[in-house]
Amino acid sequence: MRKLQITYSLITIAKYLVVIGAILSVGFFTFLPNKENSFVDINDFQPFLGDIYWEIRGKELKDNLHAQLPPLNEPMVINVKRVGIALPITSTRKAISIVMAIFYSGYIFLLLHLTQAIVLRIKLGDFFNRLNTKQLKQVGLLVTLAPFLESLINSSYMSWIGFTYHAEGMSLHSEGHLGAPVVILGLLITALAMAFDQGRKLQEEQELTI
Amino acid sequence: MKKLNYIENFLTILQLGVFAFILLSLFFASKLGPEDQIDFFSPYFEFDRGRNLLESELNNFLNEKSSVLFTGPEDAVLKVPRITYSIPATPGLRWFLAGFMMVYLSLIILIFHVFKKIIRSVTNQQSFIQQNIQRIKVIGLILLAIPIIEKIVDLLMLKYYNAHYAIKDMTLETGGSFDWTMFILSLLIYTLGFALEQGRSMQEEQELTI
Repeated sequence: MRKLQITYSLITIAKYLVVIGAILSVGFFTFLPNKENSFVDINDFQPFLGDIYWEIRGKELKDNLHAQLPPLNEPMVINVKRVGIALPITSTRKAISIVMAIFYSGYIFLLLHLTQAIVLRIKLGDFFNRLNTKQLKQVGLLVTLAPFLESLINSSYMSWIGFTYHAEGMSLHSEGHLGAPVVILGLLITALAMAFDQGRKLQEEQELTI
Repeated sequence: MKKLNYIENFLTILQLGVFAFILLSLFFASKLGPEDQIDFFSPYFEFDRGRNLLESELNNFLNEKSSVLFTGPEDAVLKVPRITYSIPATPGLRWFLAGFMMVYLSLIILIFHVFKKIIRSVTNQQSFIQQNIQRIKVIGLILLAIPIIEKIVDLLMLKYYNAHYAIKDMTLETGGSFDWTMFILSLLIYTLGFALEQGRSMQEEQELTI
């Protein structure tokens, strides 16, 4: 039960950190003054999601950039393979960042809140009930969908950049933070929700027997 | 239970995909020669904050001197966010990397295998057997260990590269922060293992009553 208490405390701390992070992010983007001449990397506008970058394809550009770099100890060769894009700080970009910060924090908060409620009931000895099964299924769904949602948002943002800007000798790419392990974890939670459903039926039968 | 069948089939496909990936990696590792270079994207060199001459030179070159044709309706600038490196594919390095990847992917295949066993027992209405409790705890522990091991490997690589290679006004970074979401969800899996233990004792009681 001590392990459960530690888990519960960790989730509570994480919940508070998510709320503090959300308030700070929204505050930062709200009070950031508009600067048409100051350029910020697009990945800094949406730090919660994956990275978007241009990959250098042209050999000439690659060689020219390499010529600008200082020499390094052999056998390591340093190079510039990726290039970022920086945009001016405008109200539209700030608004997108605020919406993304709220969406991301809300998603994580909901996930942590449901997890905390399940852990609390398990800690109190209330294992197999309809609410636990329902909330476990919700957690499983939220976790499984997270990488796909991230990929969808990233691709939309990338497509907008791809349609708006064009760079010769470079191709646009994106890299997500969430991957296959998160999907597997989500599926495992869903499978365990089914096991909890069996536990609930078993408990109901037992109560009827008594 | 149809949902569980879908998950099991999905896991089998993933398992085969990972296995094919291992074989392909071994094939490519055997084809590489010492004249080939292996690109590393982590750790990478990041520009130190403040006025950075090398960063300014590279960004100026990209936006003004180079022949990159960058077009768009709004103002935007190209930026070099980081510098990566390549190392010759010596037999030692490529077999070390192939071995490391094999160990990592074998662990993933093991998780799939154990997960499929859990699904089969849940499908057969045998969720609360002792083996399942152990299986869930094993998966929980592996998933809990993965972000910790990743962080330790990152720190060790940083220490090694910092001791051997250095560029003025640049710092080596790994970029990967500790994966708290994954860590907390693994704790949830571990917690659910405790709940299943309760289910097992309940089932034993019911069998004794009958």
